Amino acid sequence: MSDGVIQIAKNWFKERNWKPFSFQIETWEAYLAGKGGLLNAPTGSGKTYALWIPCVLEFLKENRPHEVRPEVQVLWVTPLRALAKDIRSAMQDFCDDLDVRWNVGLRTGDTTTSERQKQKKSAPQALVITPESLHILLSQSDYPNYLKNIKSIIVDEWHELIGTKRGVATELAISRIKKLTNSTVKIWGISATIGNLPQAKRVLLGEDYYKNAVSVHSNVDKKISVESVLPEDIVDFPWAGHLGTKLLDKVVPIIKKSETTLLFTNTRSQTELWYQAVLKEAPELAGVIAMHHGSMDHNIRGWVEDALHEGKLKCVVCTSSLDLGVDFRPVDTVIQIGGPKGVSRFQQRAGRSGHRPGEESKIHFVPTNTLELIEGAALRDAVAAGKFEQRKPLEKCLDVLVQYLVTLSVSGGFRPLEILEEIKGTYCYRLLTSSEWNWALEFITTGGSSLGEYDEFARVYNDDGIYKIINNRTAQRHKLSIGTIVGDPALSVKFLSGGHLGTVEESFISRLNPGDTFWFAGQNLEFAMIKDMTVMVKKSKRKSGLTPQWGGGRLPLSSLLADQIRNKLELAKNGIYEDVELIAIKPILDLQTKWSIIPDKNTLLIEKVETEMGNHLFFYPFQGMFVHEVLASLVAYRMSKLQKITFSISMNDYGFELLSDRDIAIEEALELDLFSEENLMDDINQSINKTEMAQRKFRDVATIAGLIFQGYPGKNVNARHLQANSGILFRVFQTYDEDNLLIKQSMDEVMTLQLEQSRLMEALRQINSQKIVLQETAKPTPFAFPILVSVLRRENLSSEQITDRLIKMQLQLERSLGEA
Amino acid sequence: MPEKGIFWQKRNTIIISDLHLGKAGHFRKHGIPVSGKIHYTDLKILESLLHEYKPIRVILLGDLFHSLKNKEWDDFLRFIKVFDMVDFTLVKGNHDVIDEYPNELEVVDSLDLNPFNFTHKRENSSLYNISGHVHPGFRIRGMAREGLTLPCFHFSESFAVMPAFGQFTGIKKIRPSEGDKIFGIADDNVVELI
Repeated sequence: MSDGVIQIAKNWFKERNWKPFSFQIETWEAYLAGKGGLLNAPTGSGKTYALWIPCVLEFLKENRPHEVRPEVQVLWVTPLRALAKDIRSAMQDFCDDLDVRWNVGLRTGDTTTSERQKQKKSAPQALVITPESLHILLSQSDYPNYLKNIKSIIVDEWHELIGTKRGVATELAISRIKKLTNSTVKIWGISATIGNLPQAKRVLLGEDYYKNAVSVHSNVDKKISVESVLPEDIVDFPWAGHLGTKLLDKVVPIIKKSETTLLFTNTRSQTELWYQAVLKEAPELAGVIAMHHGSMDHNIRGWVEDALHEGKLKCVVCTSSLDLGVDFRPVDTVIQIGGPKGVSRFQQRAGRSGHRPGEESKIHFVPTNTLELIEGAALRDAVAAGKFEQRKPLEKCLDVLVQYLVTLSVSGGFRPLEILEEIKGTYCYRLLTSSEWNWALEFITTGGSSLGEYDEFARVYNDDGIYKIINNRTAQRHKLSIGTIVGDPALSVKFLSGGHLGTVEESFISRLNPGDTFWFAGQNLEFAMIKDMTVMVKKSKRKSGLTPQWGGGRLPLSSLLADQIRNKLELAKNGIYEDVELIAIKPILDLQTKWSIIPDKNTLLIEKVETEMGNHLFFYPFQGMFVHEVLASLVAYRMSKLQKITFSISMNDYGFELLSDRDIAIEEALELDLFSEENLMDDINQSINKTEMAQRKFRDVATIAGLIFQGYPGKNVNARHLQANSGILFRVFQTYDEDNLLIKQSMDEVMTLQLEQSRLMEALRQINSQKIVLQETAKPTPFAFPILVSVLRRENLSSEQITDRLIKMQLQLERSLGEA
Repeated sequence: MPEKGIFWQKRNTIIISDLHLGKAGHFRKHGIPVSGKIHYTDLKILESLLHEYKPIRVILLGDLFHSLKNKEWDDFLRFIKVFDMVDFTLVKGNHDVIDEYPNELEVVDSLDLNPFNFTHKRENSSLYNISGHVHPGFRIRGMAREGLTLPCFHFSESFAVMPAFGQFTGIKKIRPSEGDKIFGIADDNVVELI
């Protein structure tokens, strides 16, 4: 029977003079045999047809094209609103071609209320939906009826969701729908290649499903070629820095030569700077060059995306905001400014060009400093070897669980045991303990055991075994805060004359005075005033101005890429120079060898140098800056136990520095085993301010769990009396509710995500197996210099009281005032 | 004083501002579980001040109570009954929406006690105006880019702004003008910052 319907699809391909790929046919067959699974296929390979077609064929197996009931059959989950529109129309077109009277609906944050009402009255047969909107569906009282006939859930771009709380939300929604359909629903995921595909499959399908599921791999190989943009004269090229505009004169010709170029940068402020720089170098590009980053207004971004589609733009300067998404067919060139820090991200960006199957994707790598050139060679090797980073799934996110439970309480309530069984079937909560579960239940009903007073607390009631919300306003408030993406506290930027531009962080604006100018979305703006959480601006004709810094965004070097870099260095140490990049920087590496050594993979290099700043120690573990931050604090702490000393710490992705005004007794310290794993956790807790880090994590956790209300859209003012800053809540909970598991979760997130605990342990084991070489150098070496001037500098605040800190900082303040 | 109040020795009066009692209850009522114990701490600190300074009067510079009456309001009433030897005066703030106040609590919109004029929000006055409302804080920065925002007293030539006394309150960063004095509160000390 399924052979018969598959013929329909084959004919459809034939009519278009296309030929289905074997992975597509393989997916159709598996799907029609009732299997679920994970399809591993890159963007632009025809993955949508691989899974959408069998959904329709399944219907045709038992129904005639006109026999359509108003029931949702397919949920197509996509992480990006921007993707949803295009996918929906491709899906609808296929149905129309076969004269199948299906209606494919769109359900995202942008869907209008009237459209949603229409979908409620007469259900579309398929819904393209975001994880957030899916949870909003679950908050509607009739959802069990609405969703019970679903035949399949397809999760697109699963590699983007796994490892995030949105992924966890997806797992939870799937667990609910499985139950509603008596486990008849098929679950499929589509993922680009990542290092842990089998795990990705298990996480998506759940503990009950994954063993019977299939894995399909597309054999559509994409050739990627990596070409580094080399500086004319390596001696002139900066040893440190991250802007890269020095190579502008080499980048602009590439843009001019190409049809359409995507120029990727690593941060939003870098995007602003590069946009300005390119325009200055090539003013004739005005009008055909645009920029795209996550803080820009949604509509402007949409315009840029559309213009890209239509081939109206010659160049778009962008951040990861364009990493994934629909194929921009006109794009034929991709340029990456600075190290992308990970192989997967680099491949994904490279894949934005050359979309036609079989076509080669070419990516130009523009280094921003000398050593970064090694990354170009390392990336090429990793790409050639087909290596990818893993994306680790999250575990036991109590904030998402709390939100989910309240969602279910809004839509008619839930019976705890039923839901517990379902969520234990998800990967994320498979190890949830009964005390954690009880805490979550108690938290949403009484506010937590140590609260002490229950009288006024109103959230969820236990109504004879069913947990539900009675208060309408509480329900309404919850519906508005469903989701797991927590925005930075940002102010929107608007022209005085009207017109929304995007958002900037409050901390940036607070430094400005009215009349000051800054660059934003490619325009120079004059700051007029702040009104109702909105920054009012007007256009400025001035040429100078500040560029806002947006927080976050900086990712550490992945261990996979770090490993490749060490390979390259080891080759160089042995005098083997094969890559153009390494040949180009040979003079610099020779200098490093002359002044110190190039460490091979079995060596931990430590350099000791004295400058007018004081005594420096440089360590080069090559483990990424997060791990270096912890290692640096740990080493500083352990050394300060040996001698009375205060350090200033600095790090980058290759190594870290300890700086002190006294002589550092490193030889002694090394004898005492500085990197011992003994007392490790105690020493780390002593050496870093975990509480402060946890407090930052807590903002997201508290928002997701519904403790911080971000306000009704458009009417922020009404909710103001309920707004408390997360720092205050954190302190309140810590002092008065110490068993609060959300605090514990924040601490855990610091350890696993921020401090990369597992990578740290791995790093220590590696160091302990390495030979330590201590070199005294006359000057900071080429390796040391970038760390020395790194902006990531931190005072090691050992055990000083706020008052001591204050006095010290005040002295510094006075000094700088005196200088000014 | 580091407890974020002012002791006016000549008149034997303590001035504090922005207690925001009842805020925890208000949050709980809206489904955000904040322990009411935080307000016991507020009252305990106030109690210790009453024991230490033995004032005859306490001026509350507004935003005494965050919401409509709830259990935490009863706690406060009990508190002022216990300290009936002290006169409590509330200079009403924008949050003080309770319609009925007990006899033990004098309630005014503003208060003139030469040479000062007390209001909740800053107002122009021929006297020296003392107010609360903004919960002022001052951010200091160290060399290593680390920053610290401290609650502070803000004194200018014609007015002064007090820090918020309540534990469950935030801080708003202020920008002093030329010639202003800022006293920050760090642990148990009041430190002159500028």
